[in-house]
Order: sequence, then structure tokens, then C-alpha cells
Amino acid sequence: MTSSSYIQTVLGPISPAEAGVTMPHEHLLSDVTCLYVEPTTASDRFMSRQPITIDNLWWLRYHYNNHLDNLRLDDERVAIEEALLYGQLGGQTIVDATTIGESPDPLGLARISRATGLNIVAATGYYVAPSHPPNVNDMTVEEITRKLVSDITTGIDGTGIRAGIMGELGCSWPLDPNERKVLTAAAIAQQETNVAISIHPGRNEEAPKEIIDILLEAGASPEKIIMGHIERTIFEMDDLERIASYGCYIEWDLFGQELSYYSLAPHISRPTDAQRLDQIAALTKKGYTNKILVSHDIGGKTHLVKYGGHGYGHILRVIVPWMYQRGFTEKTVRAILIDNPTTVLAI
Amino acid sequence: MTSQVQTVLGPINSSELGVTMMHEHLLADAAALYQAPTAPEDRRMANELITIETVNWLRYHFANHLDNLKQDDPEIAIDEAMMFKLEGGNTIVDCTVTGMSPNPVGLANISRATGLNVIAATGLYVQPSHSSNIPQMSEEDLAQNMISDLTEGIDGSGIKAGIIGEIGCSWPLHADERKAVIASSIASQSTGAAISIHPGRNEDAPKEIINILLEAGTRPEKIIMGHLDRTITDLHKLKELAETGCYLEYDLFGQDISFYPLAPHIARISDAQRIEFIEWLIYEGHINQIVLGQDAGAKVNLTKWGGHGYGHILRIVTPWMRQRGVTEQNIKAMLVDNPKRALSVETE
Repeated sequence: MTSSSYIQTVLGPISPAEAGVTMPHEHLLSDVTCLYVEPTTASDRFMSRQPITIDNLWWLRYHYNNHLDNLRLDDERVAIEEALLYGQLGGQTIVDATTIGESPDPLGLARISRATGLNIVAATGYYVAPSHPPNVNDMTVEEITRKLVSDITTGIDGTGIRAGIMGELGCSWPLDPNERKVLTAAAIAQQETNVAISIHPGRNEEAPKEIIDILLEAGASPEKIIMGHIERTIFEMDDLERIASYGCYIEWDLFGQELSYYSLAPHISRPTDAQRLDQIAALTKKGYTNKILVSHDIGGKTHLVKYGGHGYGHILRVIVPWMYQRGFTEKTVRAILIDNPTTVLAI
Repeated sequence: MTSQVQTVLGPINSSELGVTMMHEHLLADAAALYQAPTAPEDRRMANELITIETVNWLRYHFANHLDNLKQDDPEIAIDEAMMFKLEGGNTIVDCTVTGMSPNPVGLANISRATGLNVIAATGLYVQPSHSSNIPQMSEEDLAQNMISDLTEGIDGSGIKAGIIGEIGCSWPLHADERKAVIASSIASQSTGAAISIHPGRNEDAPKEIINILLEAGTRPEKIIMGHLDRTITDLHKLKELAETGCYLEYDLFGQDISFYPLAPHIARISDAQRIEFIEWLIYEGHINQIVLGQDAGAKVNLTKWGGHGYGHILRIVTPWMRQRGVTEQNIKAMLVDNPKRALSVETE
């Protein structure tokens, strides 16, 4: 990092030292109704139309993407309240990884930043192929690159608000050709702008390696690549080590989401927070402490405290004290919460 | 010779048991577990009513909220128990023993209202819940109380218990809890009733208690070792326990939060991990010893307050097991055949 390096927030650049405690993968304002799957049975369709209340959480928790309203984080006042809970626990910066296809709202993020005093980093990029606007199919890699660079250097969609990260870039399994175009474009854009790339890999153990190979081949720097959602993608220590050995960041960003039955992919069992910490501990023992990132990927209403969930403050409130109890050193915790995210975000 | 089980409405033929949850609480007050919160912001939360905004706090402060630990409303219990029935359930074993405010009359009302078989319990919970006369009582005295609950009726209600336990054990085992364990052995040998154990929170606790029971003459097939999900993760110790021949109870299904407020040094396991242990036990030849439950009872585990309720295993877990390749025969063993064998008492 040079002395002139900065992190791009929605209210302008800040020095990396100002960013402090940072969650590198969240959603404050987003609409992922692109993920909505209409239930087939009459009784499930009824449940999917009910407002979210305490006595239907039992259904909602196991039907995350079968409920339209759950997939919308669209109430700015609620986002402010929930983000303040994070701030009250010592949080300082949030990366909103909402990309095209998830209804990104940079002006909304700027208002939330002013209301809460938190630094917020906005994103450019595209989510998974089913959510792509129709024009992506006709765009060349060069045209997508221009758009990414423009969002970063001039501002997103004419708002004047500059993106500070490329991602989450959505990848399916198998990888869609248009998603591959976006990855290539992002790698080229990174060489021009030095902005980090954050990946939402497809739900397969082979996905991270395939994506990293594409990015590196197109000229991206491994230390500016974040492989997200690792805990629902790779389960073997050997494979984790391999990704880390490329020099990429590895992001356990589903903290608080402990329901092991994974309705989005029933063949995968999601790990618990304890299992996440076991993996992180193992990776620190292998010497990769400086490549570890953690976050919650708050993405639906049932993740918010207001709707019975754990919210943006879960890691600070529950996980960090537990890490100390489990023997993580203050140096390691500081690295994971502060040094690593601010290093990867620094432009 | 008939094979019977004592329910709160009288004895039934054990072939009528059907799909059985082996460890639940329909009406209980676990105030004995209550720990006043220390942090100032938690003290306020501890007295708030449970709303959707406080559900998450509760899940991480299970025992720091008095109201959460007390579900004694029979109307609510009826609604929640119906969710089990509607998913195809037939029988609930209510393991609420002295120290948790058992309510056998309430259980009888729930049974009548829902059509479910309900089995009531006799026994003592963990030592902090013991009343002041327990230290003066002998093993024989405690056994006599249990036998009276099983053969004449619980506390003079005329409603007979059908299981001994959960017998609450701490780690280390308290002398009065050891007395209760031995008393349960005496009562089991006298009546033929099964014993359900709530072991202390340590990997070696089940072995210690099994040894006490076996040494006292208990038949292993009358012993149900509960809460294995939060007690044994070491496969050698699990195998050792399984080889004693006792029943192996995974009774915390639906409770997917790994941070364990009651014992922060233990990481709790998820439903997926529970299923993995069960699949391993099946592979090792112990299918006929596995029984299931949700230990639902605290408000935060009930659907009215954001939880999964008594129907969770039938609604989510057994279909998931099928998806994972567990055979229909093995699922029936866990839900029907094993509970039937564990709970049956042979009578002339």
C-alpha cells in the first residue's frame, strides 16, 4: 500500500487506516427476487404470500427463496436501524456487494452512510446470468470492461458515486458464457484500476479454481481476488489451502446462517459457525491468517434482527468473543476484521 | 403376555405407539436452568416479552430469560403438538420430571384434545432443581417415589408415568444425582420401565452413568442415553457407548445454533451433523438403538415464538434423510420400532 492509496466509499475516498472494522460482503439495499422460486403446492403458495411474522418463521427458514418479500431488502429506514446495530458494536465499514441483477442503489447507500456514520463501499459488476439485463448478451468483453471502469472512475449510472469493489460477480455452475465474459472484463478492469474482485462462485467444489484460472489468465492479480461463500462451496482442507496458496483471499461470509438444510441446494449441508471457526483456525495454522475474510452476506429479511435474524452485528456480538474463548489471538482477530479487508479494498 | 406402554390416559398396547418422539416437553418450567444475565443490555432483554425482534437474542441467551424457560399453557401446547400430529406423529414422550414443574393432568388434557398418545415421566432433574428434602432421602426412598408414580400415579393424580427420566446429571456428577440414577435402576428393575438420561456436558459423562446403571443391575436395553448431540463427538467414545447396547438418542433436532450459551466450550452440532452421526452408527450396525427427539419445550423452540416445533423431524428431517439415502426401513426403525421396544413393558 502506498501512502496515497485509498478506499472508495459512497461519500468519497477515505484512507485505509480510517476504514477500521470492515464487513466485506453484505447487502444493505438489494432485491434478489431473481432467485424467487414459486412454490408448487397450494399450501406453500399461501405461506409464501404471508407477511413475515414470528409464528411463520418455522416455514420461512426452510423456504428462504420461496417468499418474494423475504428476498427484498428495500426499506431504507430498516437498513439504517439494522446498520446502526453493527455500528454500536464497533463496526465502521460495510461493503455492499449488490451488483446488477440485485437492484443496486448507490444513492440509497449514500443516504444510509450519512444517516449512520458508517463507511459504505458500493459495488459494480453483474450477478448470476438469470438476473442479467438483456443487453449483457450482446455486449463484448471490451464493452463490459468500459462499463466497470466507468462505474469505478466516474460513478455508477450517472450518480457520481464511484464503485469501490467489483463484485459480487455472480457465477453459476456450470459457468454461463456471459458470466465468463464478466469475469474476463473484471480482470482487465482490475489492471486499469487496481480495484478488488469479489466472487460468488457456483455451487460446486470445482467452481473456485475454474474462476480463479479464468481471472489469472485474463491478467488479474491474485491478491486482489476474494473468493466468497467458501463455506457452502469447498469442504476439504486441501482444496481450501490450494485456493489460499494462489494468494487469493478466502471469505467465510455466511456467518449467522447456520441452518444446515440448504434450501437453495439440498445436496449441500451448510456448516455451522463453529465449523467455520474450525476451518479458519486450521487455515491460520497453515500460515494463511492474512488471507482470511469474514462477513454475514445479509441478503433477506429473515436475516435481519427485525425479522428474527442475526443481523449485521452477529460477528462482532457473538463470534468475536467466542473466537477469543477458542484461543484466537487479538492479532489474528484484528487481521481478519481490519487489516485483511482494508488491504484488499485499498486502491 | 402382552406388551404395554403406560400413557397419561391409561395403558395401551405397544403396537399402538406408532411414530414416536422420545424426548419432548409439552408443559414445563425449566427455571432451574435460569442464569441472570450479567451484561447491562442483556438484563433489559431478559425481562422483555418475546417478539420477532428479540427472537435472535433469545436464541443466544436461551437460559437468560425466565419466560422462555416456562411454557405451561396447555392451549399453546395443544396447538404446537397438533403440528406433530398433522405431519403423521402418534406419540410424544414428555420427559418433564420433578424440578421442571411436571403437569400430568395438563398432559392428559393435551392427549385428549389432540388424540396423540402422551407418556408422562417420573424422576429428578439436575441438582440445582432438587428440593431441600432430597439430600436426606435414600436411594430406596427415591426409588419408592418413582415406583409409586409408575404404578399408582404421579403425585396422587392417578395418572401413571410410563418412563423414568430424564434423570438430570451434571458434570461432575452430584452425589444426589448419583442417588437418583441408582434409584432409577431400582425402579426400572421393579417395574420394567425404561430410564432416560440427561447426561452432564462432558464426553465421558454417558460412560460414567451407564457404568453406574449397569453395575446396579439395569438391563442395557432399558437405558436411553439422551442429548448425545451435545455430549459425544468422539467416534471411539460413541462406539464404546453403542456397544453397551443402550439406546442412543439424538434429541436436539431443529436446534441449529452452534454457539451453546449453556456451555460455551462446547460447539453444538447442526441437523446435518446429527444425520451424519446417525448414518455412521447405522453403518456400524447400531440402527436398532437409535431414537430421535427435538427436546422442544422452551418457547424459542416452538413455532409460536419463531422456532421449529414438535413437527420438525417429520416435516424436514426424515424427508432429508430419505434424500440422503437412508432406507425407509431404517427410518421406521428410528421412529417406530425402536421406541416401541424401548418403552414396552411385558405384562401377564
